[in-house]
Amino acid sequence: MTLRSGAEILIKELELLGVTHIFGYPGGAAINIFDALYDSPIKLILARHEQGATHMADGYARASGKIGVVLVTSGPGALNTVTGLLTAKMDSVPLLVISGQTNSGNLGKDAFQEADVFGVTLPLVKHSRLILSVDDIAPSVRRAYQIATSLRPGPVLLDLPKDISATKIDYEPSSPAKEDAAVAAELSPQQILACQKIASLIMASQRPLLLVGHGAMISGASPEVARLAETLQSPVTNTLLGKGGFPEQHPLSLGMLGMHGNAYANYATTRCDLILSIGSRFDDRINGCNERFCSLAKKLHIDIDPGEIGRVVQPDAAVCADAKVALGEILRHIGPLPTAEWLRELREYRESHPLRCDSAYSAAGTPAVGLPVRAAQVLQSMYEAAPREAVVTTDVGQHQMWAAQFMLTKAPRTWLSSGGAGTMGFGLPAAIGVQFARPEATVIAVVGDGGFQMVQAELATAAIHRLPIKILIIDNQCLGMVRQWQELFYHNRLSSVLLEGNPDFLALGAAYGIKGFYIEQQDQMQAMLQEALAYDAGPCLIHARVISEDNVWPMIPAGRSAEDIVLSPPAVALPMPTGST
Amino acid sequence: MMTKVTGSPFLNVREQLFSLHLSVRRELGIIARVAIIFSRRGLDIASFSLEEAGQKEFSRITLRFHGNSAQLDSVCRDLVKLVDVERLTVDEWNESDISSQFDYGQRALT
Repeated sequence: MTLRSGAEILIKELELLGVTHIFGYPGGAAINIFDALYDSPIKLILARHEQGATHMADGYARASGKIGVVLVTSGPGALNTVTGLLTAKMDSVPLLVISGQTNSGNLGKDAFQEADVFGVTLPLVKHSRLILSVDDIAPSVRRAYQIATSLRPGPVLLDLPKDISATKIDYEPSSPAKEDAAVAAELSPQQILACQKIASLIMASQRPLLLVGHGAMISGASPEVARLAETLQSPVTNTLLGKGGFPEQHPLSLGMLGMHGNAYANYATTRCDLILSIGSRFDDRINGCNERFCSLAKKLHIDIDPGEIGRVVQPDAAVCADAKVALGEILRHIGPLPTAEWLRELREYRESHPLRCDSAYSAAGTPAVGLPVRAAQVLQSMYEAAPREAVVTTDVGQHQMWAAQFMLTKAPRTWLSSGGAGTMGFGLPAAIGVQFARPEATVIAVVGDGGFQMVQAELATAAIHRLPIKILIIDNQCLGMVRQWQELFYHNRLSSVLLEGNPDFLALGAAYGIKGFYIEQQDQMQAMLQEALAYDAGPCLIHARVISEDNVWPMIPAGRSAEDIVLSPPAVALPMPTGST
Repeated sequence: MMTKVTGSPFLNVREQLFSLHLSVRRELGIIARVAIIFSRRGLDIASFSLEEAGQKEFSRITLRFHGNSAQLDSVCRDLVKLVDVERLTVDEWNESDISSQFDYGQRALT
C-alpha cells in the first residue's frame, strides 16, 4: 500500500500526462502542491505575477501544441489568472489552471484569501471543477487534460482546497489511456458527403479564395492547405491568428485580411466567387459588415466547433470536422481551376495598392542619416534581419498590426498574438513560455510601451533563466491605437493616451542585468537589430524610440465592409464607425 | 465523436416564448453555467426548474424565456457547448400552443 497526498497525486498525474513545465506562483492554499513539486521532475517556472504565469503557459501551449499548465494559490492569486483565461478561451488555447483553495470546511466563510474562483471563472473556461474529494483528483486531472486539448481547445480550471490536497489515500499511478488523438481521425458518412459538396462547389469556381484561420494551425492542416492552394492555384488569405497556416511569402498568399489587413487581400473578398474558411470564425475584425462580406461569393466553412458554423455567416456548404481530416477528403475530389485571369487581376491590384512603409533607405540604398524612425520601418527591418522561422509574439495595438503586416509568417506556431481578447501585456510573458517550449528558436517579443509596462516585472523571469528573448519595445510614447481613433473619429481630442513618465527602458533592463540596445535614427537601425539578434547570453531589450504620429493603414472602419477601406491618411474627417471597436 | 447540429432554423425576429429542455449531468455549478449564458446577453429567464432524472447522474432542466429567434440561436449555440449538457430540445410557442419542437443537437460525451 502506497499512501500519497492529494497534492502528490495531482503532480504524479501531470507527470503521467507528459507535463514537463508548470508556470506559477505559490501561496498558502497551494503550498501542499508546491511541496509535492519539490520531488518532481516537472520544472516550476516562477513568474512575478500570476497573469504573467498564465500568458507564459499560453505561449508555451501555442508554440508547442501541448497543454500549458499554471499553478497558483487561492483568492488574489487565482483571480490574477482571469485575464489569461479569457485570452486562452478567445484564441482556443489548451490551458490547465490549477488553483489552491481554502480548506473545504471554510468555503463560504470569507476565509483568508478565499474567493469563489469557480464562480468568477465560469464564463471564461471551457470547463472547470471544484474538487471536493481526494479520490476525485486523478480522474479530474485526466478529464481536464482531455477537455482542454480535444476538439476546439480551451482553458480548464481545477480548484483544489488545501485539506483535499493534504489528505492521503492509497494510490497506485497508472498510465492514462491514449484516446485523444483518435477523436478526429475518421469522418462520418455525412461529413464525407459535406466534404464532397464543398469540393463540387470549389470545382465550379473561377475566382476562389481560401481563408486560413487559427483552427487550421491547431489541427496541423498546413500541409493540406498548401496542397489545396497549389492544386487549385487559388489565392490564400489569412486572419491575424492564421498567420503561418500558409506561408505569407508564397506567391499565392495575399497575407492578412480584415480591419488592418492588406488592401489586396480585402479587395479579393469583394471580387471572389467562392470563399472557403478553414478554421476561421468570421469574427468582426474580418467581417466588418455581414451583409456585404464576400457578397459575390459562395461561402464554405470548415470548423470543428458546431457553434461557429452559421453563427456569423450562413454558409452554402459546411462541414463540422477537424480541418486536416476534412481537407484530406476534399483533396480527393478536386483538381486545377482556371484561375490565371483571377490571379493576374489580384497581382495587378497588388502592384497598384502595395502595403507601404516608407523605406529606411533612399533610392541609392544609403541609410537616411539622422532621420527619426517609424515603427513600421523598425518591424520591417527586424523581419529582414531575423531568421525566417523566428517566433514572434506581440502585445496589442498599433505595433501589433504593423508587426502583422510587415513581419510575414512562414511556419505554423511562429506567430503568437492575443487576437480575440486583445490582451495588452501578452507579448513578453508569452515569449518566455515560447522560449521554454522551443529553447533553440529565435524568439522576438514585439511590445508597445503601454503593454510592456503592464508586465515588465517578468523581465526578472526572463533574466534568471537567461532566455535569449529579443524584447523589441516600439516606444511611441502613447497608446497609439486609441490615439489613432481619437485623431480620426473624435476630432483629435487626445484623452488619456499620452504615456508621460515612461521610464528609461534600458536602465530598467539594466537593473535586471539585461543587455540593451537603443534605436532612434534610421541609420542606426540595421546594425543595432543585427547586433541584438546575435546576442544570446540572455534576454536583451531593444528600445526603439519611434515617431508618435503614425497611424496604421489600411483601415476598414469598424462595422464597414472591404469596399470602404481607407488606404492612406484621409483629407476629410471620417464618419464615426458603426462597429464597436 | 463529432457533434451534430440540426440547424439554426429561425429567420423571424418576432419576440416569442421559447421553452428549453436540457438533459444535464448533475455537476456542481450547472445551474450557474446555464444561467450566465442568458445573463451575458441581457436576456431574462422567465421560469427555471431542475429535477432529478431517472439515472442519478443526470438532471433535467426546463426553462422559458422571451426572445427572438436570433437570441434563441445564440443561446443554444453556447448551451450545447457546455461539457455537462447532454441534450437540448426547444419548444417554440405560438399564442398558447407549441408550434414546433426540435432537437437542437445531441452532444457527444467528451
